[in-house]
Amino acid sequence: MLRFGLNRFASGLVTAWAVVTATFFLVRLVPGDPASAMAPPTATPAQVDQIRNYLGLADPWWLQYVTFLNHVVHLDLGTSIRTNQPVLSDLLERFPATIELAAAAMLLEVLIAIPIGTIAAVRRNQMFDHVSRFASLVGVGIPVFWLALMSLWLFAYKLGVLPLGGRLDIGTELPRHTGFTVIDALIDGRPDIAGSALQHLLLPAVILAIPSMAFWTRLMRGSMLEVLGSDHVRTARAKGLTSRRVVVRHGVRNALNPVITSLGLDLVALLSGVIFIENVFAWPGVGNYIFGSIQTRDYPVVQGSVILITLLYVFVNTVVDVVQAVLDPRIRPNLQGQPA
Amino acid sequence: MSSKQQAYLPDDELPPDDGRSRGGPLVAELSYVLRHSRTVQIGLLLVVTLLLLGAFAPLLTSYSPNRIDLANTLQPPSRTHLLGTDELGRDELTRLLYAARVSMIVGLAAVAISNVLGVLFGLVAGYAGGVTDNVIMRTMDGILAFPALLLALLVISVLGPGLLKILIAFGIAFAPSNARLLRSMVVSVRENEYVLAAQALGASRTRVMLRYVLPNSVSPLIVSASLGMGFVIIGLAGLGYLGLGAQPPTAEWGAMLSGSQARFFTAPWLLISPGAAILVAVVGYVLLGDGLRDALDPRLRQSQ
Repeated sequence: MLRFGLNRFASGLVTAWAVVTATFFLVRLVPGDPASAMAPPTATPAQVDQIRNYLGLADPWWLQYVTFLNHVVHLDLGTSIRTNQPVLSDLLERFPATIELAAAAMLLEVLIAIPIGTIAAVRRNQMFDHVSRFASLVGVGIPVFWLALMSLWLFAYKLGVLPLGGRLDIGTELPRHTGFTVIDALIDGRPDIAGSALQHLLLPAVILAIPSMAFWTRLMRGSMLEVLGSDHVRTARAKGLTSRRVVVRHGVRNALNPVITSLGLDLVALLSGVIFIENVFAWPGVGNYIFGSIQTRDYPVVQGSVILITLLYVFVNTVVDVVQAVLDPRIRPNLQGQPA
Repeated sequence: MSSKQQAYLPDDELPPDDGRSRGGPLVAELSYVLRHSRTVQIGLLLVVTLLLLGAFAPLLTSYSPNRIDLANTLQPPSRTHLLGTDELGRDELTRLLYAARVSMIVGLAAVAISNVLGVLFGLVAGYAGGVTDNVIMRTMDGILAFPALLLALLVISVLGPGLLKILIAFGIAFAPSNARLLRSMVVSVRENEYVLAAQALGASRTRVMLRYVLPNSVSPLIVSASLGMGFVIIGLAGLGYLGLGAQPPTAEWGAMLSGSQARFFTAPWLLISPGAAILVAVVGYVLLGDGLRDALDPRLRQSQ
């Protein structure tokens, strides 16, 4: 088991190295000049040269590569042109807001997608199944930024029941303990502020969750159908267990495997989604920061964030594989980390 | 039929293949699916409708998509402007139709690039095996580790914004999964007797790959191409919304949304149609892909 874990982590490291190397070569080999892409259209050639030297693009490529690797290993992702701060510290400062949003979204996904997928599979081809399949199809195809705009228009503007954006009402003072507003408010003994923070969280979290929710519902339904048709479920039924027990103990537990496998995928969906959602809802997180950096051509931030998020993705996938191997002995012999 | 197969049955319970009307294996299979799968039919209907609307856009509207009419800005929907006009007085419906062209062309081109690259690498890796296989597939894995949208952001951070660059980015981003898919097919197909026979008769490697292995390996790619169109269209709209895709004045659904976002309170009708168009396009391709997958996968086909 330990061997499997070490093996999997080693291959995770290789993937991480490949990601960093691919980024390096992609950024440098693709025809085009980062210096002039970054410069405003009015820049003089001398100014473009200055940017080129500043970025170290005048050095030989192997020196650039070594410097680049060295920086990434030390988590030095460069300096933002816009805020003049190290990209990493800018990202870390905004991370709690995004984690709060993503965690709320993930909670909603688990609480909604898994039961719906399960019921849809149990009542296959009945009304519930048809409705949930249609809804999840729409959920997969709907662009989140559009849904965000529409629901903001309806709930915040037309009905006025939810706030327009941000994490707290304007003018609310809240000292930063953890960076998570709900927790900070509770630490300060202010349940009213915590309630307001939850109100602000509701709409962005629901909308962020919808595409993944739809995906997980589809996945759960398919996986559940497969499990329900398998021999061990038939045996359980033949033993005379109640159908509730068969579905929950013998069905759901086994059907959850592909859902757990797609956790890493889901993380990516959420972190890509926040780039849109946080902008619409003026949520001061990583997504908003990346969005702003794109708008202002602050490309060191874009590249640094892409590397960081991708490395996070590789890490989560590695952990998920190991955890799954601990939980499910059938996966262990396959050291590629690709459960069949 | 075992209970295992029962569980795999598609929801569009396809009748058994009668074995008639077999042109080539793939053509026959596709025409069979088209006749019997409701999912595929609906998906195809949506997709073809959008393709036709885009293709015949100039005939369907009397306005020009980029002609500015400052006397008639932000008009609500009316008989002269069915979906109203935007902040520069351009006809919203016209722009919507022309934007369908952009999405369809970029989508098809990106999917074509990712398929050509995927076929090339997958075929060579799967057929050659050994070191070649390892080098190609590990490289593919490296690219696959990037989420597609982030890879696109990376490419744009070097090349600057634009449709052509997004097309390249998505073409690269989706190539590895195609390569993987094709390789897995090639590895099993190359063991067939007819491949061995061709080799024994002295056919060149290229000929064996192109004539015997490839045609029998491509059908899973049709499914992934259709689902890929869905991803590209929604990704293109997302990047357009971020201002990284189509540049003004080109009409593109995502860019139209971000343009109208500032008129959120005064002209909410401008928000509805571009998003709905994206939704219809993506749902069409996802339905098509889902239906094809259920129908083409031999495990899913009813055997009796």
